[in-house]
Amino acid sequence: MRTQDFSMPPLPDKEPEEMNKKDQPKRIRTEADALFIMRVSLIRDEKLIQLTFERNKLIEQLMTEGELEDTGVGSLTDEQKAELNAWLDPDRSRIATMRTQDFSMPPVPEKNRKKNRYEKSAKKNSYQRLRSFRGHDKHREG
Amino acid sequence: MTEEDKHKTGLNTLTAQQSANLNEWLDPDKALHGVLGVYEDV
Repeated sequence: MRTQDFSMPPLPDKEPEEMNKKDQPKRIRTEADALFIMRVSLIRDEKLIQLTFERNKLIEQLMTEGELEDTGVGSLTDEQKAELNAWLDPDRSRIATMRTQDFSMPPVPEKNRKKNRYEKSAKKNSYQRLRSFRGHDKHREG
Repeated sequence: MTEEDKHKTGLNTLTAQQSANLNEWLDPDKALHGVLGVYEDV
């Protein structure tokens, strides 16, 4: 009975394209099938996180013959494909600029800025040090 | 993509179905290709 309790329900009898994303087996992306690679590097010595984009393959190298036909990419000229690949390249300066603008946060005016917990504790510690310096805590020292 | 980019890449010549197929192909949620995130500890 317990075995039946824990048994997996049968997979839904649906065509793959009708299945929900969670029903689909997880596919592992590798460098072999990536248009470009986003590399996150932690440089320990400099305490830096570096984000780099590397162009990997061209779109026509990743598409199958059928996909080239279905998307119309196969009918583009070599020059048009080169332009499309250049457009898809995340290193393009115009896109990089646009994305920087999209994700940049406007500066918060100093008077509206909330102090983070480190700044708060720094201020508190500074106050405690000041009290101690002025002799307020002498009674504690005995 | 701007109209100029569409013209340069030739995507302005695609049919609506081809454009939809291309968008789907490029959609990282649906397709296998796209961005590959790699973490390195240097």
